[in-house]
Amino acid sequence: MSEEKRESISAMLDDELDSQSGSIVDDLLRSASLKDSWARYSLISDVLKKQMPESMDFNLADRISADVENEPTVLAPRKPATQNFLKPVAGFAIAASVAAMAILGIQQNNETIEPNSSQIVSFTPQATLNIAPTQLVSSNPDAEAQLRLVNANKRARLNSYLVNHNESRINSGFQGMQPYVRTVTFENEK
Amino acid sequence: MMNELLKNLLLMRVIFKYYAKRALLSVCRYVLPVFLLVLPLTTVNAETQAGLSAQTLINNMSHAVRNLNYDGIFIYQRGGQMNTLRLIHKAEDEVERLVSLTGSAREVIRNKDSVTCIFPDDQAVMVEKSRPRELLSSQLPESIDQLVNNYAFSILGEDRVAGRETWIVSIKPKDAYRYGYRFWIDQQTHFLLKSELKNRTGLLLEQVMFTQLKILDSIPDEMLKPSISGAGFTWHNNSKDVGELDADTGRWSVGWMPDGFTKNKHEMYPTADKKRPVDHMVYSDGLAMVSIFIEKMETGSGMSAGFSKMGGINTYAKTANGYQVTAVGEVPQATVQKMANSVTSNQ
Repeated sequence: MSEEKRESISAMLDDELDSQSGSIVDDLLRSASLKDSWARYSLISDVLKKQMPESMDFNLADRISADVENEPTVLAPRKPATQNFLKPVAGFAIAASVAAMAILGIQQNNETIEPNSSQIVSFTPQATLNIAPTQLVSSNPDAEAQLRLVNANKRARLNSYLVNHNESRINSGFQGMQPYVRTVTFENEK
Repeated sequence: MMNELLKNLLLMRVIFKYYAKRALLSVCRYVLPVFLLVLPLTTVNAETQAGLSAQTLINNMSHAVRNLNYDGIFIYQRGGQMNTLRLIHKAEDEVERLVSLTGSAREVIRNKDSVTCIFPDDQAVMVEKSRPRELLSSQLPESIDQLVNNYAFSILGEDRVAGRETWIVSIKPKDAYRYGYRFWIDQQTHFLLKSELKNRTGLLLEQVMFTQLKILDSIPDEMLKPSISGAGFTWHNNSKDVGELDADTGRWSVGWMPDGFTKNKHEMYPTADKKRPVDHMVYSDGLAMVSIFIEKMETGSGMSAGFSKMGGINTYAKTANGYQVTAVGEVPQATVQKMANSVTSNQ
């Protein structure tokens, strides 16, 4: 399976799939390994979002494709392919769902997960490709405490940057939304 | 007799039909083209009944937000999250208090000297120095004229927000490196009652909407005091002994920025933990703004790399030769990333 397709699945879970990659759904229904990826990524995504269902159905993709086969074909007009410049850079789309920092116990700040903290996230796209869901539960109290400290430092630095950025914004002449709204509403991880 | 009458009636019908047809034809021939010609002109030059253009409204809005005394409650929404906040603003001393009414009771109080951020969830208080406000009476119309190169302004119509009549102003970016805005501006006071930040494909990134607004003659000082004493909290005070350092304005170069962006300033000051000096460069197209922060890192202090996001603010951090470079701005990810990656040292 190509990395590109894995990225597309991840992007789809994050609702960041652009119109050009629409065919991934067709591919997904055809390929068994892609279906596996979909199931795995959804699970990771749900764990990250703390949206675990009480019981899990691992064969959802199979059942969907069975249902689709039984459905009449509908010819829907395709949306014109507009280039989406805002599509996350390669690797980031994956990182959003299958975040490396989940293993490290860090909470990522992308909106697709928990838009709570304001910390900067470190990740390597390659590493994220090989995560098995079982690794998510690994924990080491000492390492976690150490990471918390490092993250607190990073967060403090970014908060300071944001205040200084806001102060420049206030003097920019143009004044729209109160810039400190973000400082007040973004809660840190505990 | 009867026949005569019928004949006359028929004749009258024929004559009437003939003239009706003529009239319709002349409408199509003369009136319609003129109407069609005028129609696009009126929508392009859309103005409010008071004759205000979108640009003037934006200008007046910036003044109103600063020069009025008010106490209001608004909703802030981004992604799937929603918060309610209270904003109290005293124009004469330029004091402002922002309190979160949902979740943790965070507060930001800003006055002429400092910005105090109280984080009850972290048991922390952060105090930073505030920048004195500059007069904006002269600078704004000029910068708005330049904005037309990169944004399309229009007035979309009228709407009601917080029980007040508003005009809706739309600002659309002309390339992918900036965001679009939509403002609901109070017809009476020109106060900004609702604002939306959208990406170029029209996806709503964050929005603010007042549900209640009181414009007041004066604001008693008690309303501007924090509700939390901050006793027992960790204080990070960076407001007092900040001697601004002399920035070496030729030290760093930013090789790439979107069209219309210019460097507004370059400052240098110690970081919040007072250990290292940080370079702060500000770039703006008059509407969107990007800050580039550069500081020398010590080992183990937690280098950052990659993106983060705070509603409409994107940040991108990278490290190069022991320096931490971070771009922060209300612009798409691509813009902060490209700008941070284009930073070069001139030493």
